Amino acid sequence: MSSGNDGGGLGRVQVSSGRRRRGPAPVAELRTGRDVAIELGRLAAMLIITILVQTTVASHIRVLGASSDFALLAVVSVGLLRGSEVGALFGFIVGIGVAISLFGPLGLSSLVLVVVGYFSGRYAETADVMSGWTPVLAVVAGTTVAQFLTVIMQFLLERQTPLGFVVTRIFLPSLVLNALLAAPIYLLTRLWLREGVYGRE
Amino acid sequence: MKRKRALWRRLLVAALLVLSLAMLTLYFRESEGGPAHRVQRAGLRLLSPLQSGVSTIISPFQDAWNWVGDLFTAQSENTRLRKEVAKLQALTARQLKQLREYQRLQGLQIVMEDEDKVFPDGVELVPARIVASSTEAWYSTVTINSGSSKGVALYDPVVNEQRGLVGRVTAVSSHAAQVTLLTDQKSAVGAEILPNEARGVVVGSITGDMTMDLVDRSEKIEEGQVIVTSGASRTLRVRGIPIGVVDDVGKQAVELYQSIAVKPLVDFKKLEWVLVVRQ
Repeated sequence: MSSGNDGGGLGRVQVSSGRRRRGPAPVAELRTGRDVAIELGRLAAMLIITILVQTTVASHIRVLGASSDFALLAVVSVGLLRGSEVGALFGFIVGIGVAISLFGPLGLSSLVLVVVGYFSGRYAETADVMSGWTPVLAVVAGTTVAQFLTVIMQFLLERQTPLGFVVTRIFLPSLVLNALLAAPIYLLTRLWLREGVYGRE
Repeated sequence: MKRKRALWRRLLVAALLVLSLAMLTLYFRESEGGPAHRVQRAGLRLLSPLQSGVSTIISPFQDAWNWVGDLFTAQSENTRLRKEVAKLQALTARQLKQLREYQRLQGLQIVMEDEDKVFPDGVELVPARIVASSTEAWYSTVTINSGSSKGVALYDPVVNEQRGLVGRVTAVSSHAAQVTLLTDQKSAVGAEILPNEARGVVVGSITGDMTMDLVDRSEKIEEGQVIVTSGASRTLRVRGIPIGVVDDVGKQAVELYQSIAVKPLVDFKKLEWVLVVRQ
């Protein structure tokens, strides 16, 4: 059985011994076309659900005026489970979907979510991700990076606002809300993508 | 092998970033009819029925969520409303006295204005449901499920059930449209304060507060006066749509104009159905 740990691919196998890893599933040497099709189907379904939840549900869950960012949570979870390449690609498509759904500027969310997806994946590929706090840490870091990039992009697009307002009314509430939702969303994503299910066969 | 894979990974991310930046540049540089906007409208044509379905499904849960939220604010709101009732009773008594005086002197009857007369003849109202809302504080926009197929056009004003101005249509596809709310920081609507007819511009902000700027210093404005659209905007020609009331008047000695805090008539957090005013 192969246990190559060189990044997130679509097919997966279980590592041969020891505890089950929580990082991105390793690329299978011997994967079937059916496995790849199932994996792509699951990712596509998750993509559509993420976009719909982000545009219809997220706006109703507000803490101190800030909304939960289901798109970011899903991208971080996919990055952690499937690696940097799939994470970045997933982030890119989710960003486009959200921009289309909300008539937002095309490319803005994509830019931010590509970075978040890529670094979530790299974190899982290079660090010890056995801890249960991994998704929370990744989401906290992801939210910080996303908010920072968004502020810069909005500044460039001439939408300016006091820094104090951004920190206290946008950044901190989003950070808390996203951190609270990180673990459940990660677990749901993990269940949906069924990490390692083929490896046990 | 590993090095090749790392190179591929970096190339992929770089390509995605460049693509995002290219799309962003194209989006802001092209006109409304440009390729990126067309792609967006086509994509929304596919997504809007799904959004509409999900929005219908979650509606009961949303009501339950709002109900729970309302419970928390009920106590403080009760106290506030009691104070307000006491204040309004005193105000009503004073106004009734003035009204009787007015009637006696002028011999005229006060006729309540028909609400529908706010809009000129021939204006049609298109009902629409809000199917998606912007989740970022940077944008105050909503997506409605009526588009050009129902006659909705760019810059059409949008009102709520009480005829209060909600915002303006800023993008349209065949079955959906984007409405930029009055609270958006890029929103600017020509307005006038009644009964003075003092003119200015109502603008939004990222904090969700609304301000009426460019009001002449010489105008005497008081708290509680009603603000309506002036119809003077290039893109909003309907006059008299209620926007809100004067909440606070800021007059700086060095400023040429007054800056007036506006209390909107519309509760932007609880919007569900709106009416698009076809101009």
